[in-house]
Amino acid sequence: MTQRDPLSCTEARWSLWPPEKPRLHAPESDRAWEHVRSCRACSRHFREDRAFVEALGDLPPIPAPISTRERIFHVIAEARAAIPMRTLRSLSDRRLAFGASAVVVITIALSVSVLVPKPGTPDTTASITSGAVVEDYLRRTVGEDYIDTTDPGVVTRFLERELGVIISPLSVPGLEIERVEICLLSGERAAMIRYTLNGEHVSHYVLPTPSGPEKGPSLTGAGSPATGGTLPVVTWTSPGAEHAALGDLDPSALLRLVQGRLDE
Amino acid sequence: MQKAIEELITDELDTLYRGALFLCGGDGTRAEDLLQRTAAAAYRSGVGGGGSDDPHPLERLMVQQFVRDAGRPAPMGPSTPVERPAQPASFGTMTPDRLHRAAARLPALARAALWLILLRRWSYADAARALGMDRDGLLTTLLWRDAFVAALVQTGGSSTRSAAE
Repeated sequence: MTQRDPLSCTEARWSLWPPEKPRLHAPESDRAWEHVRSCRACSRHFREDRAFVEALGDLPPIPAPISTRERIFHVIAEARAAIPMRTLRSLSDRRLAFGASAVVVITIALSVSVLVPKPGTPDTTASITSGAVVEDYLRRTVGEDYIDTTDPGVVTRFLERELGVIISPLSVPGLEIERVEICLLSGERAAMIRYTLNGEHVSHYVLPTPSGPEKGPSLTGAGSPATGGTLPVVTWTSPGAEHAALGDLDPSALLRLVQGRLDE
Repeated sequence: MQKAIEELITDELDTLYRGALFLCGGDGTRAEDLLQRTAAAAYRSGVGGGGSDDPHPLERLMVQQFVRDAGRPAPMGPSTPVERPAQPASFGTMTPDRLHRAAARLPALARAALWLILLRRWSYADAARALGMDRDGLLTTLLWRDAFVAALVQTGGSSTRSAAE
């Protein structure tokens, strides 16, 4: 058996870094640790590193400011607009057909009932264009899903953290949250809360907007020739956000759901 | 399941922000600019589109962007060796301000290498790959570690936590 050359400090540190990483018992790492134990400089190096890592534990969390977050997502939205989305070849016909009607309904509903500035209304409302809604729908259709939760409190905290608005999910007996997803509407960060009610799905879009007058729930979209009346949409506003809900329910049930009087 | 770039950024933004602040020596405006350029580069390079086994694509892009912004400096160590105290360094209570002030004393490439290796605990090989350096280049750059530690100790005041403990 030949005696191997002793490891240099550089080789030992290179092979053992990061030292806290679990490693399989192997001759190379054994040699490296053996070197560290017998080398004052390397022992000191790793002791100092351990003290540094412990000191890092004192650091308070530094969350990215919401303004920074918004600007970054705006940059991505701009990049998306500049570079066309890749061809979506894997869409199934069924999903695409449903998506097309959903997109038309959402677009009509949001653009007609909530987002078109009314006379006398300051033009500060965010706008959702059909292209933006199509973009979001297509991103979902190709399977880019987001964050799962069923807890209303988690949803509220998530929306406050991610969108900077305090929104309570819809709440009526039997309505259960499935998940909440971040989405992009017209380059703005928005969210979609998905619920089930007795096996039927309801989607609730939330778009943060500058504060404006509150508007109660109203039904739009149902009966539109473009949609065949299959997908009713209820829209409303609350402090700091615009909302749209649509899904499998019939129009009056969807409206009563949003109004919180489903049992009437 | 592959993640959308927005989801990746949402997951990692706080870490990226801390990294950007470190790289920019605590300058929040520059850090935000760096993050915006990183996000645009990430979208252009298809991050989030799947098909990659890179566990930290955004962080890699961020340090690459930072080094590119610095003009891709060549690796080099300190011009004079840092005097090492007899005892291993004591760091005391760490604060973001201390960390950023110490980082601000380093050249750009050294900040990038130390962020990945010392703070984010990347392996030397992964860090060298991300920074586009060979082994010698990285080792030369890491000679700044002692200067960084010395700067941290200098800004720490009375220390309570020693590596010798």
